[in-house]
Amino acid sequence: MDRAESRDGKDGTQRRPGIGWLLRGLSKPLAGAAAIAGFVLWAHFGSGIQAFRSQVSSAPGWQQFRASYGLDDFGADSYFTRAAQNGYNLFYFTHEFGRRFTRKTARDAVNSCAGCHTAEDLAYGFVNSDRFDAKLGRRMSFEERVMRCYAGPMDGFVPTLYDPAVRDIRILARAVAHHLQLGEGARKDGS
Amino acid sequence: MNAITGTLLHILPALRRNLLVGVTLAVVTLPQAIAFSTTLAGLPPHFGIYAAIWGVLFTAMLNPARVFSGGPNTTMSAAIGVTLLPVAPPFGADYIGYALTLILLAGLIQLLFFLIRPLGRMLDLVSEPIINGLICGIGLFLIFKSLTSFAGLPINTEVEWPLWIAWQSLQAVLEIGNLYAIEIGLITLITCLVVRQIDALRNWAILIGVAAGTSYSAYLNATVGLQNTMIEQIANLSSVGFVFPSLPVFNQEAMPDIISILPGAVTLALLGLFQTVAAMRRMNRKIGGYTDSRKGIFADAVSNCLLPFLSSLPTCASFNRMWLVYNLGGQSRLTSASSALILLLMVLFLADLIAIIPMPAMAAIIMVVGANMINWEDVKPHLKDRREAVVFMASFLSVLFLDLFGAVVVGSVLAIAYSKWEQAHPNISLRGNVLKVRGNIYYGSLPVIESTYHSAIERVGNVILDFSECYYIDQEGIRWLAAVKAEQKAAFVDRRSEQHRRAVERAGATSRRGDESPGKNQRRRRPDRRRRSDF
Amino acid sequence: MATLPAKLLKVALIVSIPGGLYLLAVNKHAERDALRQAAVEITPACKAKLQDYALRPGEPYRSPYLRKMTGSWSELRGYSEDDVRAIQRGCNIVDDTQGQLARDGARERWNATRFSRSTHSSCDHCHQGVGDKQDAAGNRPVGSNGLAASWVMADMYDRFTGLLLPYELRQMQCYINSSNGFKPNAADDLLRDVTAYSRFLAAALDLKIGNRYPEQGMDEIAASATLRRGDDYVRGAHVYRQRCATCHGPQGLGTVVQGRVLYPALAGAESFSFDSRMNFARIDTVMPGFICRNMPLGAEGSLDNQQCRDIAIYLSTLPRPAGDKQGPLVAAWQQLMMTVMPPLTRYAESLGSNHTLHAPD
Repeated sequence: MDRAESRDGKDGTQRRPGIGWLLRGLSKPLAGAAAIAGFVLWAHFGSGIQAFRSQVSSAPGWQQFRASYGLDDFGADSYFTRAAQNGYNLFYFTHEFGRRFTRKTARDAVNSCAGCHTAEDLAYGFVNSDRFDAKLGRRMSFEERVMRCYAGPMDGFVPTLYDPAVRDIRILARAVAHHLQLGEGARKDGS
Repeated sequence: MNAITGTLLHILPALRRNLLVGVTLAVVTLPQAIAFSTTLAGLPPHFGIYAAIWGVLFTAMLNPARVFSGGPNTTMSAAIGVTLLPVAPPFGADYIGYALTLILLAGLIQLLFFLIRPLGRMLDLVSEPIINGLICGIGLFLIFKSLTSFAGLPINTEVEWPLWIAWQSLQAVLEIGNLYAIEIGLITLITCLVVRQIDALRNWAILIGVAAGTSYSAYLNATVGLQNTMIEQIANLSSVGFVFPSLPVFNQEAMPDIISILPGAVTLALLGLFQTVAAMRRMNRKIGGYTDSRKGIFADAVSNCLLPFLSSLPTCASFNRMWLVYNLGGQSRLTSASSALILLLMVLFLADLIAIIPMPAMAAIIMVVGANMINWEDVKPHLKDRREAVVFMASFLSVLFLDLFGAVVVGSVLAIAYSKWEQAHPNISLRGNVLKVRGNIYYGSLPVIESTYHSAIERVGNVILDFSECYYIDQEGIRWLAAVKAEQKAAFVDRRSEQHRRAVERAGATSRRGDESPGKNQRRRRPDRRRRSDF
Repeated sequence: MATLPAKLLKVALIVSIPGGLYLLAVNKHAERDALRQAAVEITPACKAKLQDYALRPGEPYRSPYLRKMTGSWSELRGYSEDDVRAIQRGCNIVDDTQGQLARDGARERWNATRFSRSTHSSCDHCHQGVGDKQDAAGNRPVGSNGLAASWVMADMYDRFTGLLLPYELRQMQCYINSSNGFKPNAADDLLRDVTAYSRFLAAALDLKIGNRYPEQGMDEIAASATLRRGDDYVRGAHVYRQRCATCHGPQGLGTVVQGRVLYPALAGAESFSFDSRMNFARIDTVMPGFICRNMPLGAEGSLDNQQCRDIAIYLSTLPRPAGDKQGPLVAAWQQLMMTVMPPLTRYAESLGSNHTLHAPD
């Protein structure tokens, strides 16, 4: 097939009518391509592994959460709402949706942020973030706290600052803080 | 029976050798694959790994070249990162979806290059100085680009001009970089560069560097704690199995973003094809064989159309890896295939180990790879010839001053301009009243010929126009020749003159073109190599 | 190939160059840490502002502003000394980005000038009143670009970038476009301190997360808010000459006295770029909104909507830097125009025959 193709142009017979010339000498590669396509199809439909989709998936309890924290304020469906929904998934089902950044599995007793915090804690944490932390001796941003949570209590890894694994937690906190009408520095005891 | 044992005896050593080369190739590829996807493309590590498995395997199946190695590529990964940064935050689900779409679009564009034959043929015009200029520029760009992740700093979003930003990034590294990250990166970098000095370990340098960086990072985690070092790592790979199917985004609400990444898709497609065609060309010449580059285009196009359905980075040929395989004695596509399988096994069993590789070490690898792309031995020949030097520099600088899309456009325009410029300046000599033209007579070269012709007419009155060494005359050239003839100031000499033919025969050169009249000598399909020998 | 000594030399280089860079980095980090710990020399405007808001270390924080406006106290979380310094530095940056009021301008402002090609730009030019503009009674005027209101509305979808725009990224855009400069890194103190200051303002003004306040952003003026006589460049030039030129100069190049920027450039090399939202040619509602609500200083609200749009379109026609998105060719062209056009115009008008644009007052 190699030779047939490379001689092209010398013997002057290459101008065959139709698309035959296009496929000439390609039967083997085409068979290869078909085999690969078959493999891809098998991976999607035969392997039983769930395909990756970029849409946010709906985890249990979301509808209730959304109603009780007034997320429709930001639109029934919007960039913000979706990010908040992803934040919800990450917060309550970290082992499943933040799999990359935690070693926790479904078998662990505490396997999500919600194991230690409530959504309202998160909101209060947000409006009290960016303050000096006496234990660490430096000012801590909200994002850094989230990253530390992944690394420490979640026995995992540090995501980047802009990773949705961090960003969407912040956006969830914002959404809840908005619902609770919190201002900067608001304290949970309400004083 | 004897025949079978004979074959086996013949095959087994070859198989063993290929397996050994495959191991080396896998070891070289794995850290790079992870580094490309995480630090350059902004995608989770399994994208690079799958490209090193399925990308390599698919191209090995589809590309018949004797020595061929596809797989993840720096330039293409960087193109993905640069295109998608403004669209969505890296590593997020949206970003991944758009990346898959981008790769699919690039694959479809590459398919066009296969289906439309002249388009594929255009790639042959992309000359070595252009490719090398692009590669050198991108190498430098990669070094700048990895500075932020080297120091554990967040990557700023939005497209930026690399040359502008490099100085800023360096200062940010020095002033606000995470010192733990910088230490890890430097240990990786220094180890890698020092080990490279030892010839026997050269191929293992990157792996040893990564091992050193990872050990130091593990030590830091044990003593200081990850919560305090805040070192980013490759992270959990448990989702990586044998295969991970994925679906590109393609719906109404994604449409504006898909449209906005189309130039990026063209860039991605072209960068891949440029490299595949150039690498195959170089490899052909080094090992003295010939495989049509169209086959490479086909292999790339089909692979890149299908890889986005398997969570993989796009693939293209890598000359460096091919050269490595060749030098190690890998002789067939079996080598690539075995490396892919070995890699699959490595990933399945070493996932926990890979997970703790720190990102700064990956950034250091990118720096080494980027520096490798700037190869003085490749550049030197281009600087000897003025015209080549101009093309090389233009292509090199365009990467640094424009974005990748601009660079690819400049590269393509340069390619065409360069070949046209060459054709438009035939070698014209005037001896006595014989005006001899060697080269093309066509609309582009006519002004040059005419100006010499008219000054010759003015000086000597009567001219003999010798175009026996012209090998291409277009319609405009014929009309001009007819007009000249009608003026009756010039006589024509062409190859049909007996004297010339005898001289040629005496010299032992046989020229098939000799017996054609210029009028009939229309554009003929002829491989490039022959045209060169005419000079 | 290479001899052993040559290799050893190479190894020595490989170790010493990065090693040297590492030592440099350690040194620079220490310098930064010392600066973070050092007492902040605060600009007069910031001193007044932060005193008004009773910023001091200790628990709890009570906002005098809130007391004044509503008559009630609210007890919020207090600030530590580190927080106070960060807020003070942030306020300094907003008030005096170029560091003209500081002894060591570059150091005390976290090298803000490094990220700004314009030598005029200061956050305070658009975010007036040190990012918190108020009238005598303490009311915050509509469309005055308040930083606090902007902080509580951060992370919303931004159509220009197509992102849920974090506050740090929004600040980066200011540096790239309005200052025609470069992006500071998101982890840079330059951005973090301004964030700290904005958050303190939000606490002092008692703004709630995610609420829309009238002082946030611009009070944009669309063509529909005029009599639709068309945005007229000539009319704009006329109004500009009468109302703006005394401060901003006849060609919009700003007023600099003894190295201090009194009034910033609206055109030319020291101005905002094509990519800025202030560029009328890009977004035709923002600049008119800014002019009508915030200009001329002390006489805000004296221009009508059409006049604001006319001035804005006039400004957009003056040569200014290209943005990063336009690429190097446009940038070079704009550079040429910015260099050649103003002196040429001045010369041509000095010949006396053509006084349409710059008649002597």
